[in-house]
Amino acid sequence: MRQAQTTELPRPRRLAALREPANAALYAALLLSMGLALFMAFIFAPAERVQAEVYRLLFVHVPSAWLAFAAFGVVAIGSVMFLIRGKSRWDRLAHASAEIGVLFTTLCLVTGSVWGRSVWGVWWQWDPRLTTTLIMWFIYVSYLALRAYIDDPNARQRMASVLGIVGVVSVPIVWFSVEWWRSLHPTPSVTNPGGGMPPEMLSALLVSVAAFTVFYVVLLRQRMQLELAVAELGSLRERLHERNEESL
Amino acid sequence: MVRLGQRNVLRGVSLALAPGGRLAVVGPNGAGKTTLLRALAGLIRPRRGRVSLRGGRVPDDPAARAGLGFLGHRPPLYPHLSARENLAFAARLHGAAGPPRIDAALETVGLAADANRLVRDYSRGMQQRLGLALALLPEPDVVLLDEPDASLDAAGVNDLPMMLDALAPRAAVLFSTHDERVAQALDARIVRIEAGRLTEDPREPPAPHPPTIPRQPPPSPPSFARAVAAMIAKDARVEWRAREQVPTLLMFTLLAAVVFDMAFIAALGSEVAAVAVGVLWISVLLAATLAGTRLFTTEFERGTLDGLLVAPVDPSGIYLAKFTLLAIETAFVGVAQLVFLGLLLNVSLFQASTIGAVLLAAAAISAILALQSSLVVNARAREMLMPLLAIPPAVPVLLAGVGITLGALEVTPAGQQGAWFGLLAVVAVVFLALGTVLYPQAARA
Repeated sequence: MRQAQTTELPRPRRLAALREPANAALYAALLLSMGLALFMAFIFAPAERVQAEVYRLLFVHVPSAWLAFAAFGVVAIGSVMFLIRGKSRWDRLAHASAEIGVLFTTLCLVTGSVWGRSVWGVWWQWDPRLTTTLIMWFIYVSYLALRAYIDDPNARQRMASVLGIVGVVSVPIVWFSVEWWRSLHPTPSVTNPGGGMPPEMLSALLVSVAAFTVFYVVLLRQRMQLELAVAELGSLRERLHERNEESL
Repeated sequence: MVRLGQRNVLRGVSLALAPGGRLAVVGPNGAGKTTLLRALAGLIRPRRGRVSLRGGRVPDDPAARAGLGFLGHRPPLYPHLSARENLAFAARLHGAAGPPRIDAALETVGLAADANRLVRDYSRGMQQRLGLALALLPEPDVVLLDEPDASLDAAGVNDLPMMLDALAPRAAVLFSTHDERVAQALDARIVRIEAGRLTEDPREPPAPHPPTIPRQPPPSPPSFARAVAAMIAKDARVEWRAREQVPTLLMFTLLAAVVFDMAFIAALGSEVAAVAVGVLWISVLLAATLAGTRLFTTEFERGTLDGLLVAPVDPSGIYLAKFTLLAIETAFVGVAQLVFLGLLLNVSLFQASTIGAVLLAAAAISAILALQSSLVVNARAREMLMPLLAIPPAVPVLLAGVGITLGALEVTPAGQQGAWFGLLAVVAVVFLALGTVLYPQAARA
């Protein structure tokens, strides 16, 4: 009888999502777009007059910054939706997006630092955009820390959602910092018509942004599926525990 | 259904209780008794299902919470207040009747002679009696008691039925116990709970406790402003008695000034003003962080946060009261530091604009910290986590404070002071708004 009960345990069907065709399509899109972005960034786009080759960091620096903003926007949306609906999948979305946002912000800060060393002669400058970006990075690192320090899942989801909403205040501050204060960074040159970027560079940048967007989506799906797998495993363990208790 | 972590602690629980009825939930340790009572009191949000009272939903409807009396594992008592003061505070939060009712409650639970003693001097059993008086004080429709016999001596257990009859005669009483004799003493219907399931159908006709006393209209909850004022007054009184925050923070800021003075005095020339400004703002931020960490955690650890959340007060009022307390403490410490630095470093910081900056910055930092403090109550290593959470969003406050003070000392041109004051005001308003809206979401896990 106990044998029969054990085989009755439901198979975690949602885990099959890991082998979905959608994932295969996404990986193919990632490979193609990244290959194209590399070609555009290193071969198609011409060297810059003043900075020569080092400016090509732009094709990593700017997309990672934009995707970080988008990722933190998604954190806020996931957090608001979790507080309204109470469904864990919204919290999983916010958590996954925050991790990727921190990754992209780190990438942006590191590439910016290397670029700054070459152009300004220093690794770090207390420029408004650098300062505000660093604060944003700290805020989302503290979001991940808060999650790591709360053991009770219910409390963790609610507290993190509140912080995920508060943190998004930093995004427009980083964005507008170059307009509000005197900055070494240029004011937006892509969104403004006549921003002064040659068409080859602009198209390479847009392809890069597209490739990073696909990269973000792939990472987000993977991270959310991993979280789901962890949750499924937990509930299977719990059911097994309950079965054992009942059969005692 | 109530889920804690990966465990479904309660499943398929449905209870209906008529006025005057008494129901004992009996079960072994870990069966889910406490979870059931906390879910009914609205302190835990169930995954599925609802708790209704007076036509409203617990916990979101204050009118529904007004009909609840709750005593958890730990009586929600402030050790530095007397029994009478604890009851008076609860009465103000619940909008319950005044001194005569408090005297009657003290008399009933046998604490009239000790009413003016501080609760920290009470024995565990006396605290439990006072906890019962607190739960029954607002004449609730439904009384939820988690092991009411805990810590009571034999006389206390014998007095339990009398206490309930005298203070809440019309109430439906639901209590947990692992001692069936308590259930029998209270003439209560028994329901067994095991592994989160009720093993006996509790939906029988109401127990033979017909309401004999005419029903009175329930006390109307206090206005939002009155409740906030009551909480601020309570915190101020606790701080006045316990002296846990302000004197220590004053010493902390004085030490910061002394240490910097000793470390840099030999090397300082014209830069003394810049160093003084740095010391001022760093010490204000750190003092606020120290005090802010304790803001909600003290209430959480004492169990008094439960008392505030069960009361029919909008939880954003709790945030506003804590914000006000922290802002006053931070402003006090900041102004004191202006004096200390003036004396030690001989810098004339005590000016209208710097005092204004300290007051506004105290408000802005406190708006941030009060919300962050509410987020870490459930966290491990709160003291380590709090600076990480609080300092990054406080950086604009620091920059604005430094900007204003350097301008006042004519280290930098004074023309930008207006913009810096504007930034302080914006941060204060934005975070106060965020805290007021979001704290109720963080209050109940």
